[in-house]
Amino acid sequence: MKFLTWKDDIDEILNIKSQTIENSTSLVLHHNEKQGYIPTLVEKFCLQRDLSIKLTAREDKNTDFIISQEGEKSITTIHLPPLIEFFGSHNAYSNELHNLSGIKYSFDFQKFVAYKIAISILNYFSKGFKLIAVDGDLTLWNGIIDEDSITYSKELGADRAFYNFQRKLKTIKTNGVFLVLLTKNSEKDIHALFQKFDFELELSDFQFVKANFDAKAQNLYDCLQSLNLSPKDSIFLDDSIFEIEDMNLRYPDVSTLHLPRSPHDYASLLETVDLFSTVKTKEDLSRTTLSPINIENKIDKSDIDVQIKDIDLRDKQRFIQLANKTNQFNLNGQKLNEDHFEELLSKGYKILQASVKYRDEDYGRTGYLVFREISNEIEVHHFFISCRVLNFGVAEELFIKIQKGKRLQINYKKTNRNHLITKFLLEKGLI
Amino acid sequence: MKIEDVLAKILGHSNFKYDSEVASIENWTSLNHLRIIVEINKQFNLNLDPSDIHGSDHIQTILDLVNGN
Repeated sequence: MKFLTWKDDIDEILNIKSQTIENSTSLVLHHNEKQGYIPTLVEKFCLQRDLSIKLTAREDKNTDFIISQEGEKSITTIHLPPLIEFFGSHNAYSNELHNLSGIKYSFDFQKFVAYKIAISILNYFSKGFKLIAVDGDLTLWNGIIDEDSITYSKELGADRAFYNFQRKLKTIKTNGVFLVLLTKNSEKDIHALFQKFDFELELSDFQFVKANFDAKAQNLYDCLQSLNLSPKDSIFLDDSIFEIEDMNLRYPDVSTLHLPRSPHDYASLLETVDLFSTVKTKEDLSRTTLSPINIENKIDKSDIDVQIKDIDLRDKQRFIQLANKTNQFNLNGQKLNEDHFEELLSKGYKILQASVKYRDEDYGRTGYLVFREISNEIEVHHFFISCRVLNFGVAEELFIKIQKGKRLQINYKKTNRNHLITKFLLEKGLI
Repeated sequence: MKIEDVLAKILGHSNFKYDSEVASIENWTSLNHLRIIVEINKQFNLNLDPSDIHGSDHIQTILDLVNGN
């Protein structure tokens, strides 16, 4: 499920519902101002972590927010002046709300304060996350592994941003939280990457490295099983909304955070979440670990936009680049250059290009199929697709486009690495 | 003026029932929620604090508050 922080829409937070409201813990919130939505928001943030509290607001002389259990010592005190300074007084106060209802704090500041209070309460009740699962490409490092190399992000200064993010993760790990890497790359490529680059995180920092092309939910499930943790103990971070939603569908009890567009905001997001408690013992051994929902293609396909068109000369470089980088989903592993490209066209081959979007995420030109018609047959000469879009139905779309009831002749050649296309062709009965 | 009239005035429609969950009612935002409380206070000469009504997930709960139940 999507994990909401104070940066999310206030109405979305207020609509958080719990499946398990039982035996609420009664707490008191002391403050000397009208508190607006703060008590409700605190309750909602706590509900996300299955902590049901009933927060009674009580006005007294305190200018800070003090949380206590009824008749007992305080759990936490939130000092307001540094928060107002951090937030900027022009953002912390709202004249509109003050004039309307006597509440002087803006909605954003109410969310922010409520979130801070909720984190303190959750940590007090040991309700932090025990495992963070992170994506690799464009999440941990500044680019996408194209099997043998990295295609770098063009964002200026981004290397530093990824370094800061890794450093923050390392600190969290030092505090006893398990790190898991879930990446749709081959294990060999990941090992090569960590050997080549002097990252802040080392592979040994991860409790598990799951580098394969299976659903990330299944990989995470295996990790949680091994550690005897519940899905509710874990949070999954990814820059791809497709992966986030796939996790939400398959494994709804796992909290998910879609990373912001800019990697410069990644590290501060982790500080915002700040909900990582120390794993002290295996006290949760008796908890049941729920399995991911066994779904196939449950992601709404209408959100995936696969555009297929005949290639034009402006696409030539991308065609050659992808042909030479793609190994796992490549029909024959043949490396191609400009001469090959010209030769294919001169021999009458047609080249279809697939471009993929998932909602507003543009994956670009990620698949090519080279074919020609010979009387009643279609000869498929080359066919390669980027591993980033393997689950998007691109291969199927390309075949639908060319087949039209004709017999297919596939120029398939097994290589050391093209097991994914082999699996696809076998499943479709094409080889 | 009745409570229903207050709600209709702020929300811009009257597509709701007493057992309606406020989250499911069109235009029931956090800001309009405050406006509703302020207007109820004004029309019925009450002194409900916006924080008093937290947890009012249904219209009936707000009616109960107004009626002092």
